[in-house]
Amino acid sequence: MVTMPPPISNSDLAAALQEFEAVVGKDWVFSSAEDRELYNDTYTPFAVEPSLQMVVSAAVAPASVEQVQQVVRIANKYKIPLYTFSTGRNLGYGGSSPTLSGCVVVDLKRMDSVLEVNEDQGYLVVEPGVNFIELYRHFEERGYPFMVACPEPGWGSPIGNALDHGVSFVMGDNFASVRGLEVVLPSGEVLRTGMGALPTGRLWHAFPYGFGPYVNGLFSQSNFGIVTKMSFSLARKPEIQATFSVSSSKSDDLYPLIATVQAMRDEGLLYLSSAASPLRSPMAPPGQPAPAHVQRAKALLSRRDGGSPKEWDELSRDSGVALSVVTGNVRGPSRIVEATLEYAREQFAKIAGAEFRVDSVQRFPLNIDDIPPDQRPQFGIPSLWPFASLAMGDTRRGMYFFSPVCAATAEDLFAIRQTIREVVLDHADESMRDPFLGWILANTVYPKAFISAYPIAISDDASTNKKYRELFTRLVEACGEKGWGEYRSHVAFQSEVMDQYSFNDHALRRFLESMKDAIDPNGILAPGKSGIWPKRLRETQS
Amino acid sequence: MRRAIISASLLALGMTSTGIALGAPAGDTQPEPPQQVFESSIGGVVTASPLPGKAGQGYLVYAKWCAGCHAPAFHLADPAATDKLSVVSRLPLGTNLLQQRYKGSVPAALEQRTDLTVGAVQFYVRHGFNAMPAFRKTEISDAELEALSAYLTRNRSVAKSNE
Repeated sequence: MVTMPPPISNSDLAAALQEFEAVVGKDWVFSSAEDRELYNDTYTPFAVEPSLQMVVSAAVAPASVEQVQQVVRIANKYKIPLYTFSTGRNLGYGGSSPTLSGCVVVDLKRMDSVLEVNEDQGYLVVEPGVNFIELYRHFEERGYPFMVACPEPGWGSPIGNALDHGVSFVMGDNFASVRGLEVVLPSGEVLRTGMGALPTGRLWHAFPYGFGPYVNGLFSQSNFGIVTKMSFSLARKPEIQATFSVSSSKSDDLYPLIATVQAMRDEGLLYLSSAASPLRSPMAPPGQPAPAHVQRAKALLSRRDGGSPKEWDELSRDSGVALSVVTGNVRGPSRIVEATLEYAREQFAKIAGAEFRVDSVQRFPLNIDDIPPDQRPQFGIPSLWPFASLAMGDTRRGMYFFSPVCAATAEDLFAIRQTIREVVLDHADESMRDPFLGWILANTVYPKAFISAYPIAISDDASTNKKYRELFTRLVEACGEKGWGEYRSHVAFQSEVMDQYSFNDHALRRFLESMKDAIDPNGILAPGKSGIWPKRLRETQS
Repeated sequence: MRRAIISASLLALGMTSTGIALGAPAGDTQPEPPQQVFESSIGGVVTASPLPGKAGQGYLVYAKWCAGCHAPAFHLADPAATDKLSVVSRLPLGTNLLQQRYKGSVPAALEQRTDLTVGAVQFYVRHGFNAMPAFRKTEISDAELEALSAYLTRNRSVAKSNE
C-alpha cells in the first residue's frame, strides 16, 4: 500500500488516474505494482531499508505540452502531488524517484522530439524526453556539424541534465548554454521565457534575457514548473581537440599550477580544466597487496595533518608518482590549438620542475573506431560504456554522491580536503575512510569553482548504510559551515543540503517558499524538491 | 545551401559504424546520399541489421539500450595498442561482470549467448540486476522488448538443434 501525503485520499487518487487515462490513454498511465516498481530509485540509499524508500503511487506519461497542462490541472483538482522527470536516469542523485513518497510521477520520455537544429545560428530546441544518445543519432543522420554536450553516461537528457546543473565534456556548465524555456506552470498555464514572451517569439533562442528578471534559473533544481521545451547553444565540431597535463613532484607546486591553468581559463583559452593528485589517490589493484608507496600514502592521508609537503615531496620523489597535476582542454582550428598549446608550455615552464605534456590530439572528423568507447563522451559522442569503471568496486546496489563545491584555488582545495579528513577521522569507522581521505579529481567545469563528487557505495548491510548516511550529514554540515555547499544532491538529502544555505535565517529558502505558495497554492509540483516544501507539507516535513 | 548538404552527408558517412575514415578534406570526395542510422549506446551510430523481422528490430533495441554495457570487448585495429588499453576501455560493465561470474562457461557478451530465454531477457529488462536499472515502458516498450528477446535468443534454436 502506498502512503499518500495527507490529505490525499485513495478515492481522489483513483479519480485522478481515471482522468489522466482520458488525457494520455490507458496505456500511458501506470498504476499496477509491477509498473510502479519501474519508477523506484535503482540506487536508493535505503536499498535494504524498504520502510524508508520513496515510492510512487502511479506514473503518467504525456506526449505533448497540452497533455502536460491537462495532467497538471487534474492534479490541482484532486490535490495530487506530481514529480516530473525527463528521462529519469540521474542515477546517484535519485533517478526517477520523487522527493516525497506517494507522488504520481510524470514521465516525459515520450516527449522526445528534436524540434529544431539551427545550423546558421548554432542552437538546438528539444523536448525533455530526448536523450543524448538519441540526439547524437539525429545530428549524425542529418550531418550537423555540432557536438553533443553529453556527460557520462548518455542516457540522460539535455533538459534534465541542464535543469539539475549537470555538466558535460563539451560545454562544461550545460545550464550556462541554455537560451529559452517553455514551462507549464503549476496552474497549467504555459510560459515562455526571455524573447519567447514576445508575441512572435522570433528571437526566443537568440537572446536569453528578454526584458525584466531573468527567470530561466527559477526552473532549475526547483518545483515551479514543468519544462516542456528548451533551447541550447551548440558547440561546433572543431578541427582539433587536444588535452594537456602538467605534473610536478612537489606539493606546493599545486598553487602555481592551478593559478596558471585558471589564468588560461580566464583568458578564454581553455574550455575545461582540472586538478588532481595521483599520489594522494592511492589505489591498489583489487585482491593484490598494495605497493609500498600506496601504503605510505595511505598512512599520510590518515594522519590528522594529512602529511607535510616535505613528506609528500619525498614520497613522490621515491615512488616516481606525480603529486600535483593540472589538465587543460583546448579545441578549435588547428593553428589556434597549436598556438594555445605552445603558449601553455611557455606559461608552465615558469614553474621549475613542472613537466608539460600534450596527452591527446584528435583531428575531426573523428575515426570513431580509434577512440575507446569510455572516452567517446569527451568528444561529444554519448555512450553508456563509462559505467565500466563501476567494475572496480562493489557497486551492486549503486551509489550516491557527496558533491561539494570549492573555489578553483589550491588554498581552497587543500582546505576542503583537510576539513573532510578531520570529519572522517573523527566520525567514520576505519573501514569507511579511504574514499574520503584520498584526493578525487577536482573538475573546473565551472570556470571559478572545483566540483568534486565523492561516491558513497550502498551495501547489503543496513547499519553500514546508516553510518554512511550519518557521515554524509556530518560532511554536508561541516563543509556547509565553511562555505562549501553541495551543488547537487540525491533527492533523499535535498532538504538537509538546502538547510546549509541559511544566510539571514534561511532568507533564500523563505523566498523560494513564498514563491512556491504563490504560484502553486495546492503544492502539487515536486513537493520537497531542493528542500522547497509547499505550505501544506512544511510542518509535517520539518 | 548545396554546399551544406554535401558536407553534411560526408560527415554522416564518416561517422557510421562502417568506420570509413576521411583522410581527405570534405571537398575532395564525391558526396553520397545520407544513410539511415540508429542509436548506439557504445557511442556512435549503427546501421540497420540484415537480420529479418523481429530479430532485426531487436538488434536496434539492443544497440540503443544494451550494447553500451553488454557488448563484446573493444578492440583497436592494432592488437598491440589494444593490449595497452585499460580494462575500462576494453570491457563494458556488464560484459566484465558476466565474465567474472561465468568464467568462460558461457560467452560474456550477451549477443553471443546461445542459452538465453525470452523469459530471462524480459525479467532482467523489467527488473534490473545489481547496478543495472530496470527499463521503463516509455524507454523499451513491450513490443520492443519482444523484438529484443527475439534478437538475443536468435541463436538458441540453432544451438538446441545441434545438441
